[in-house]
Amino acid sequence: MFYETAQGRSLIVDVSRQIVDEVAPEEADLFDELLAEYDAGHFAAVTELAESDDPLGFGIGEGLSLATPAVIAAVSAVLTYIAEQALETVKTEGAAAVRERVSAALKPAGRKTPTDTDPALQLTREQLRTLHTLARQKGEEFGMPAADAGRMADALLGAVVLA
Amino acid sequence: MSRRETDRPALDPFAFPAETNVRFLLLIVAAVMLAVTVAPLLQAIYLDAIPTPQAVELPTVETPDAVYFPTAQDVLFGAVRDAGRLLNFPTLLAAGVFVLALLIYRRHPARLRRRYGLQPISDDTVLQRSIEQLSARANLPPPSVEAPPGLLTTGGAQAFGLGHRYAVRFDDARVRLRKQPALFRAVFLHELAHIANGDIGRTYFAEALWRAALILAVGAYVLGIAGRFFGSLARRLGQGTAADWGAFFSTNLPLFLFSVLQLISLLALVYAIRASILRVRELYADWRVRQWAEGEALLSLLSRRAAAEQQGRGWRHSWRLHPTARQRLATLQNPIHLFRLSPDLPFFVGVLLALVVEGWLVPVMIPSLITAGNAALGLSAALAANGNPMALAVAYILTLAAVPILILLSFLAFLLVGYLAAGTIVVQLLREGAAARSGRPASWLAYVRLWLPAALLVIGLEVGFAIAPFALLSPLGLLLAGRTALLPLQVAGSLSWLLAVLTVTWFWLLFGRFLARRLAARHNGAPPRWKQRLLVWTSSALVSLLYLPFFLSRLALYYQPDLVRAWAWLLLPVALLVPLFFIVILAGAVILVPLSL
Repeated sequence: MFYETAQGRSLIVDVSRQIVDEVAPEEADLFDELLAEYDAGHFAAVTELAESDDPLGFGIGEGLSLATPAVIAAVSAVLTYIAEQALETVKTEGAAAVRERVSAALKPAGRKTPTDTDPALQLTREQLRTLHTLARQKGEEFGMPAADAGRMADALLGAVVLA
Repeated sequence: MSRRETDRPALDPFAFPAETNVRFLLLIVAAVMLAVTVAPLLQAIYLDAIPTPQAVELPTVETPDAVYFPTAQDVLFGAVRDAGRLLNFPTLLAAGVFVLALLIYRRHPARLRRRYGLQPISDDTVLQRSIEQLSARANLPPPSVEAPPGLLTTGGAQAFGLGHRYAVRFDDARVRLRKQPALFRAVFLHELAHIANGDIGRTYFAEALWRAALILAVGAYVLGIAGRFFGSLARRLGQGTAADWGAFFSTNLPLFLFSVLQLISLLALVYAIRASILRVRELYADWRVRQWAEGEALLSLLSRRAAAEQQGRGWRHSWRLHPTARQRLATLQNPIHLFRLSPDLPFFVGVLLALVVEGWLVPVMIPSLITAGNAALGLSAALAANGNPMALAVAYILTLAAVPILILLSFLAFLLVGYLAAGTIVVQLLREGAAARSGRPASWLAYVRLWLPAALLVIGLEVGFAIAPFALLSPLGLLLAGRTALLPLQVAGSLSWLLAVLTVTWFWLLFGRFLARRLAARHNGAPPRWKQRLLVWTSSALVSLLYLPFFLSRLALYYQPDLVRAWAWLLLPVALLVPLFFIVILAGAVILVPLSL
């Protein structure tokens, strides 16, 4: 998976941080800790304590949906998709070249080098729509309200298209 | 704004004794009675000693010479024997349950920290600042806020601690503060409210008491029964003797099932009272949050949870350890719910009154007092035999003082029983009085409706008699013991007794409510604490006086069959005359005294 390679992970983390700054700035100072929780698999499912709380507990605990794990999962899914699409079209150029192109495509504008100027990554409208749906679904899987998941997908698509 | 509206006092639930205290008193009594009930069963299992009512000896003056002219040694031995009477097996088991509960209670902070892997959150300055601000608002020192490792998002929170060293477990404090600051404040203040309401110690001790009762009383019982069963089975298999199935099915099995049923009923009672404490404390903590101006976030959370909550009503409610979101929402929107006499309270009181009278007062307390009285009389006789004029004077004084003191002590013991009823029910009537003052105008129907709590108390009494050790004051006990000669008469007598006690209880509740309303009217809602206490003690004395002849008559009904046979014709007239008597008194009071009920 794209997230499991060092370069891929670094890219996903960078993009996720950028999206979190945009859609959930209140989580920015907890980003590194939430990333560690995500890596440990603590956000695999939305959990609620509610009725199973201690008899002397608050008793109506309500699960809290966080943007950060949803963003990381969505960015990971989207970039993996892009990598797979790229792999289909440029099979002959090898996986390393694909990773470089995907990296170049998503590197923030200020950090691009002259060699990054040609991403050669053309996404069709259909593929962009698929990416949006994929990001939104990931957000909802992680307990994000539909509207927030949509906003997060917009921000992520913006990062992909405007990169 | 109309004058009527401005006259209405604001309802402050904290102007009255806490309802958690009231229920805690019931739990303590229930735990003691559980131990007292299980003790004879354990004696039967482990020591092969089956205590029966006949084994309870009422001291009598059989040998005047020995009693009236005892030696100093006799007096000393007598005192030691009397002390032993008090330190009997039920008392020791009850003490054991309390000691174990205390140990469990003392360990609760360590247990919670181990269970959840709690660690203090000290490196988050944003959180620390918020905690200090909120604690200042609650006028409390900031507690230590602790959480499991990681950033859980489950919303679990609870205050705990010993003495004045409190801590708050808040699983997702850091995330919640950033994502939902208003809800963070509401939940944190709710936990602070438990500290401010002073219910941390009581509720954790209640939990500990429940565990201790389960471990010591029930655990020992289950182990003993299992040991007995398998031991007997092994013996029979080893000896190859045939089982007496007839006796097994006609005597052993019903008695065993009945004792198990009694134990389960008592456990259910302790559990239900414990659950009611845990539920009630949450309602008061929510209300305190509202007083601290953070009720909106809590209302919003409760509304969301109430919408998602499944409807659950009826008897199942008694077993919940938390109030439902709907109940919490309703109470937060209208505090009148905190000012009502809930139906479970009189029922619990009724059951416990019967248990105390049948399981403790009659077999333990009164014989102990009589024995102590005999010892005092013996001592005075020894002094008189001395011949010294001073000793003679002391002997006279001692003799003259012993009898009224004994009578007083017996009545004081009974007064404690009265306090169990008044200290719980009358406190709630006080609240009702305050609420009635601030709400709808007084209606005589409110007084009539008091028949329901009176009926629940009386039903509780009958249930209590049935689940007390050996059910000595219940028709069920007679049936199981095979003493059925006078059973129809005793059942009829019990029904008449219930009718009469129902009337007396209703009369007593009328008195309590009337005085509570008068107090509320005079003090614009919340009377001063000393007046509240005076009302409770007056009601305790009244209910003790009212109930004393009835409990004595119940004893006569079941302990003195000859008396019942001789006076059977009186049962129905008395049962009808007692209500009539109280109704005449009531009517007289309404007509003659110009009081606005």
